Amino acid sequence: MNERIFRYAEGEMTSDEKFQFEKELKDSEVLQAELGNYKNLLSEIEELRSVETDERYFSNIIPEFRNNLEKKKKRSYHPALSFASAVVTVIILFFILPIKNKNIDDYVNNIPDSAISEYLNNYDDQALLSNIPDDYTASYDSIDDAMLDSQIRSELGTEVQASVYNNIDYDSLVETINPQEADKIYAAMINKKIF
Amino acid sequence: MADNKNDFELVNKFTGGDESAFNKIVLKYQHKIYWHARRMTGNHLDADEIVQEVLMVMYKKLKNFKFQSSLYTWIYKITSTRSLNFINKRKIKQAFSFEDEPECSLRKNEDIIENLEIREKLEKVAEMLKKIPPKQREVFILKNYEQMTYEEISEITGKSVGGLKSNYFQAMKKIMEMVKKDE
Repeated sequence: MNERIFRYAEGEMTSDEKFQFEKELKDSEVLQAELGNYKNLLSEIEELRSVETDERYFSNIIPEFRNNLEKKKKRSYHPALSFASAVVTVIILFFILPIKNKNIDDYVNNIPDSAISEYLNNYDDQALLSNIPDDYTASYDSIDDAMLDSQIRSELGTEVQASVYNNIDYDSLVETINPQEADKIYAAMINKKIF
Repeated sequence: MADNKNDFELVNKFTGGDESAFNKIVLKYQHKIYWHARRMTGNHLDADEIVQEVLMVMYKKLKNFKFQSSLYTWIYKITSTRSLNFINKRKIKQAFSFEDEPECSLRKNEDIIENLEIREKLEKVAEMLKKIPPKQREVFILKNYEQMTYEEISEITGKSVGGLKSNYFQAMKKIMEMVKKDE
């Protein structure tokens, strides 16, 4: 395509250029044919600028979009949001748990001595034993002696069989222990998980 | 001007939580979005996919729209970008033969234009447009079909007016050659 035809058709020429081109155009069949083709193309495009369509498609665009949007919302996973909620959970646990434990400690420390004395005076070990649920005693009975032996030995760091301890007369032994020794024994026992 | 004011009100209503305002914006611009996408891709099904993508982008980004350009320009910008991305993706897929050609040719028959004569004319133009580079095609479509000025096209494409004129001339030249060969 001749660039001058393009510039002429697009109104890009100066008035002098336009005057000169129109003069040439009158005498040139080639230029006339090219300009004709150019104008034909533009009029064909103009004809296709607005064509009749099935409007049902356009009335369905919004419902389809809303449907897609709904699906996307259901599927959407927000890593930032998940991370934020995890952080919040950790923060809550960090603050709530010590407070909860602190409350329990406070509660225990604030039990008056009179209440403890009253509980100990009324304490009945037989009644307590009779209140142990059957499934607990059943599971206690099912503990294997060999397993118990190995746990006690590993806990105490000794090779002595558990059966040896079973034969000790604890009542007479306790009578020979002075208060300082008893404190030492309790302090040691309290750190042993097997008891 | 009144049109821009109306757009401004609709956008404000939507950002304020009125979902129906978004529907009104879509109703106003859906034909323009569809036709620009269709002319860029050359067929109904691809255009339909792009329309839905454009609406999704509009829905997400409209809340940040500050009217630095008109809504009309902004929507064309999104449609143009999505169409160009779509064309590039399709080229890559075709290069690696991911496209299922038989299914594609069957689905190409799906259209919203019932008049066969018009449909054939559209297909003829679409075939020619496919043969010119997408950037030149974009200028050709915006200039001839949407009747935009170079300044408006420049706002959409981010290209200089001089560059656009050169692209348009190249596009016109190639199409005129194709028309000549066709005769």
